[in-house]
This record gives sequence, C-alpha cells and structure tokens, in this order.
Amino acid sequence: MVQPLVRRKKEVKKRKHFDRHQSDRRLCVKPSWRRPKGIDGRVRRKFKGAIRMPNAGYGTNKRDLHVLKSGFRKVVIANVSDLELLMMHNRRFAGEIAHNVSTRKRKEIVERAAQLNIALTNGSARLRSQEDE
Amino acid sequence: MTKHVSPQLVWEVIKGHNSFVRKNLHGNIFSAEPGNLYAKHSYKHSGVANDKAVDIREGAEGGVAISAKRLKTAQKPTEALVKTTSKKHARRAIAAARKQVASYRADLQGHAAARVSAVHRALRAKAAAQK
Repeated sequence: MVQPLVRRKKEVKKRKHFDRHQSDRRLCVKPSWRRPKGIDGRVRRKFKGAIRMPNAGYGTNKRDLHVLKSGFRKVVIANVSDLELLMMHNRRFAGEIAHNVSTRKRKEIVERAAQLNIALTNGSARLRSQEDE
Repeated sequence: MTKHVSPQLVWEVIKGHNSFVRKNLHGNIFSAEPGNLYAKHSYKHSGVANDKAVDIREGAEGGVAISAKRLKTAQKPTEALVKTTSKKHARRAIAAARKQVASYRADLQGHAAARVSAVHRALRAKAAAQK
C-alpha cells in the first residue's frame, strides 16, 4: 500500500466549539455561533474571563489544511484517464472515485489505480460480489 | 505558412483556462496536456505552450512511449509530437530517457526519469496481475 511522503501531526489550536454567548442560559439561544454586537457586550469587548471569540488565528495551518488522516490530500476521480494526473503525485494525493460512477467503471478505476500505485479513499465501495451477500 | 508564436505568448493565452486544465477540490490544479510530464499547470511543464516538450506514457502495445516535440511542427499540435516506443528494461529505459532529454530539455530530465520509472512500475504491476 502506498504511503504518503510526509506525515505530519495536525496541530489543533482549539478543541472545543465556539458556543454562542449565553447559549448555556436559555434553550431559545442556540449554541451556533453569532457574533455579539451589543454596545456593552463583555464578550465583544474581550473582558477577562469572558468566552473567546473565533478569529482567523484559530485557522488550520496551510500545510495541514485538507490533509486526510491517512496523510494524503484527495482528488476526485471520475474516470480512468483522471488517474493519469496522479501518476507523478501518488505520494501526496489520493484519489476518491466520484459518487456517480457505476460499479462496472469503478472496477476499472480500482484496477488501474493499483497498477499506478495510487491510493483510493473509497476503493472498496460498491465492489461486493453477489456471493458475499 | 503561419508565423512562429513565442511560447511565452501562447502560455499567457492559455494559462487562464484551457481544455486540459483539471481543477479539483481545494484549489488543486492539474493539467492533462500531452507533453506535460508532471501533470502540473505551469509554463515550465506545459506541453502546449513550449516549443520543446516531452511526453512519456504507456505504449499502446506495452513498453514506454516517449514523444518529443519537433521544432519544425511545434506550432501544429496534432503533428508536433514524434513518438518512439521502447521495450527496454526499466533501468536502461530510464538511462536512455535521461540521455535523450538532457540535450533537449535539461530542466525536465529528473521528471522524465521519474515518469519512465512510474510507467515501468505500472507495466510490471499489470504483468503480475495477468499471471
């Protein structure tokens, strides 16, 4: 099985959600984030002890962005010739067979990917034979 | 007789969009051009813009097909690439490709060798699966 060229541990800057201010007080204030806009808002004014607001600094580092757990970035593959694009990038990118590709063509793509040593994220999908069921 | 158009100009025209560009998830951009060894959308790698480009792929009847653009017909995309197919063993094929590309496009030498190697690996995997 082909392995990614570099495998980095993803740096997570904040694990918890940013919950909306006072969503813990009332059911009608849902936790999905809304920026406080009131003139006196302590959260908006970033008082000591107030909940943190999301900002760009919490963003994922660029080199970790879109990297899968397996260490690859994924590229959607719609047909066999799309695989040729990844021939020289098989240690950085993995293919993902598009959702609307039939079982018959999936087989061809999986076969060719094995030849080109390209990892597929969903290579085993829809490939069960009838005897297995 | 058409006049020669400089590769820089062709690249400026086609770099915005052309039919070989494959834009994928998360801003990944690849190129499916014939003559693009690295499948990368850039001036250096473009097989359409450059007067000199090398194309390496699996031959129709096995082996590695190496094509290079002929300067005379570089401006005629359908006639430009001249193909030679070799059925050498991997090591010799890589060395031969290196040698061929060195005097033609020295900057692509490494990519050419890597691509011949990748094609050979695929051929070997194919042969093993057929057994």
